[in-house]
Amino acid sequence: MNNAGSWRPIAFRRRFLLVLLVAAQTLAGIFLFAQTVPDQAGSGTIALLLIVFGVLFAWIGVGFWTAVFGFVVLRFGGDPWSLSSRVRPNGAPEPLSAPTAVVMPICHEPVQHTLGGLKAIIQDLEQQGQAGAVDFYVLSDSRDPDIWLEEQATCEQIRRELGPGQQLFYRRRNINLNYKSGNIADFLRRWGRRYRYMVVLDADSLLSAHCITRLIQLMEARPEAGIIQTTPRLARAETRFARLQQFANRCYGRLYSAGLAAIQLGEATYWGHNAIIRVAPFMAHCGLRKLRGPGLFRGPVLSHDFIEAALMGRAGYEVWLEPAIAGSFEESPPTLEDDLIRDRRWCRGNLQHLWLLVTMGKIRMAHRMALLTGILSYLASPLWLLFLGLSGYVALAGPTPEPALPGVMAANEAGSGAGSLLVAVTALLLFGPRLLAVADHGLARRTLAFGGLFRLYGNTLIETLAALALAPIRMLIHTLHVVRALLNLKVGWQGQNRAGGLSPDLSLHNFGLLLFSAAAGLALIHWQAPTLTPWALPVLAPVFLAPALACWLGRKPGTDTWLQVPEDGQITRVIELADSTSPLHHDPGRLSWFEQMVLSPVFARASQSGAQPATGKKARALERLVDRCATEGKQALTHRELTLICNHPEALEALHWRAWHATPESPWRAVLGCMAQSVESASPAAVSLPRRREELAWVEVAS
Amino acid sequence: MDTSDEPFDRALLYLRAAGHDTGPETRAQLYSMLQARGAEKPALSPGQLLEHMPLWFALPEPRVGRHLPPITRASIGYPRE
Repeated sequence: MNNAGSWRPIAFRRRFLLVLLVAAQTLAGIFLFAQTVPDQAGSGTIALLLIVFGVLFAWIGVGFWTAVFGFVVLRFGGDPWSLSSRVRPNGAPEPLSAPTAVVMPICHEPVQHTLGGLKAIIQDLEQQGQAGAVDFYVLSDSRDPDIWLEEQATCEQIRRELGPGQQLFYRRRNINLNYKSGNIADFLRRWGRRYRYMVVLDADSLLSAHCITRLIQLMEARPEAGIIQTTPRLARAETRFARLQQFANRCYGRLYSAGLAAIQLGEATYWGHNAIIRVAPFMAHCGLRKLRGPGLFRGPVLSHDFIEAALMGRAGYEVWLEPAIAGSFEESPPTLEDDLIRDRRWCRGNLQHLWLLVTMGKIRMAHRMALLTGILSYLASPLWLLFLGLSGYVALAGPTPEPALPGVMAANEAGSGAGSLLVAVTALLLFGPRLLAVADHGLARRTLAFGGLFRLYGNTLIETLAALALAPIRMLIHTLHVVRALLNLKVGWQGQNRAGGLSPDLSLHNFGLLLFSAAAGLALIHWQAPTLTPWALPVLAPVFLAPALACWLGRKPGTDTWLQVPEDGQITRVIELADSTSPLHHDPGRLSWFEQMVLSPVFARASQSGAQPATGKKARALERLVDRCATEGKQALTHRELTLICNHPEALEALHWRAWHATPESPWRAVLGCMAQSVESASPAAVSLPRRREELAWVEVAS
Repeated sequence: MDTSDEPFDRALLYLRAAGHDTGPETRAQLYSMLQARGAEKPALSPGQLLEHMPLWFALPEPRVGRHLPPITRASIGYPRE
């Protein structure tokens, strides 16, 4: 590779320019803002207001200038300092030889959808003749037996469908330590030494064969690279909310990622998935200790990816963000609620980084900035709220009976001019990246892929209006998230809902606290300063509409090309394969996966040649569990207890016969009745004949 | 399919659950087996009867799933804070 290692001076110059631009813009903004603040307000309050304004103005400035960097880079044909530009593919790719593991950590995900995606990735690699050196692992942290049994059965089915050449393994942890990072660490401790590289997927990730091949190729060409992160495009969006996110990601995300990559170069961050990792240094340097601080800052690290990138950088390895690598996809949360729930987890994880910023030494400045950016992405919301509150307070101190908000209108003429200019600059910072993105698509003649120029304009307007409506909702909810995190109120860390679908009742329930807070806030404003009510309404009106808005956004649009993106017209092969994957036939209205496993005669025979039976106390405990399950049904046992039975063949066999011996009073008698209906509807084939897949559904779970 | 607790019905359900053919030939074979066992003293309960099914009929062999690769133990390096 040319110019190895010499990217650092370039990165320094670019970052210096960014700091210069943001600082200049922020100082100018503070100067203009100070003109509009009424002198009658207390100096302490004004100083605090100016500081908060400065932080927020710099924050939106960073986003704007990153997009400008991205625009310039893309207009000049891409960044010549990126890895992709420096390592060009030479004709047809050679067969992969570096041992690579593709790992998919999952926890209570929609099984068919998730594993259907993984199957598509394997098929795509196989079709390109590149699957030979790659092993695939499903690493499950699911605890509900009805979910992990389905995962297990589906993996087995995929193995059968793909043929003997593939290497797909299913591994489930019994002890779920340290969430996703713990799951990956567990994999690495067991099999890490077998592999040179590890490609990490999320449950909704789709990587094309080209993308995986290219990532491995870049890793081979750049031994200093510890992590190469792709920029996943959102795909397969169905609900209005997901399509809005997909459009924004596809239309403007390109600029941001190009700009970010140009600024960070070899000190980029890892986003936790759709990336390739050099296994040996990752194992040597990127273990995550539990935090030992107070409250929130105690326990496992929740958002591990930024920290792992920082540790990789500290160990002397490079972390690259490569937006030029195509074929990397993920999915958006289907609804606003799911998006906000995901934010709740991320908020907690990112705020934990405050502790690590203070306690971890020798972290590179670029990675410190990345951690700070992650923290500020959530702290910005309470800061906005504080800014609005302080603005209103300061406005009341003005000389006129009708208070004017500082920055928007001012009492004197000079202040008014400065206010108007400030509003214009703020609008440019906020909406400039959108304009640049649309201009970039126009200049690159890509507008047709978005449905034509006018449709692109119209869709950008729709997305912008939606973003404006959602902004106050996000601000208030994120503020609640931050407060909850700082008070160390626990949140779940389950897999997110990726299926969509919401009822109005659910929306009202989820937004109850938000509505109450907003109503209380508006009543307080109207009681104490009724002249400020008109200023508060534009912020609070979307909040009152949040349940209805969330419900509307959670539904599918009338047409599949609502907010059209290029992928709607040109479907990538890996997405096509994922869409065409037929799910494992299962009728959940009848038998659960656990019930299928217990009743399956096939499994009962498999267990006869199983492992050593439990003895002593353990055997007696298992006997009690079997007895309780046989007499009271599976509802009487917890997930952990059901899993214990599943993990012990002799206990499962004992339960199998107890269930089949069921008397009319036993709960298993009703399950047998359901099973009779189930086998009735699918006529069994002769044993000697190859059986059709749908007929295998329930007897094959445990095999 | 009948879900009554009669031995014949329960045994037939077991065979279907196992994916075994339940055509006239199998039914006749099952019937004769039951007749023979019914003559024994004491007669087998429906549950006990089922435990003999794998001996009387060639039920499908369980498929053995792919095992995980051999473990190559290694440790993770934890940096000092």
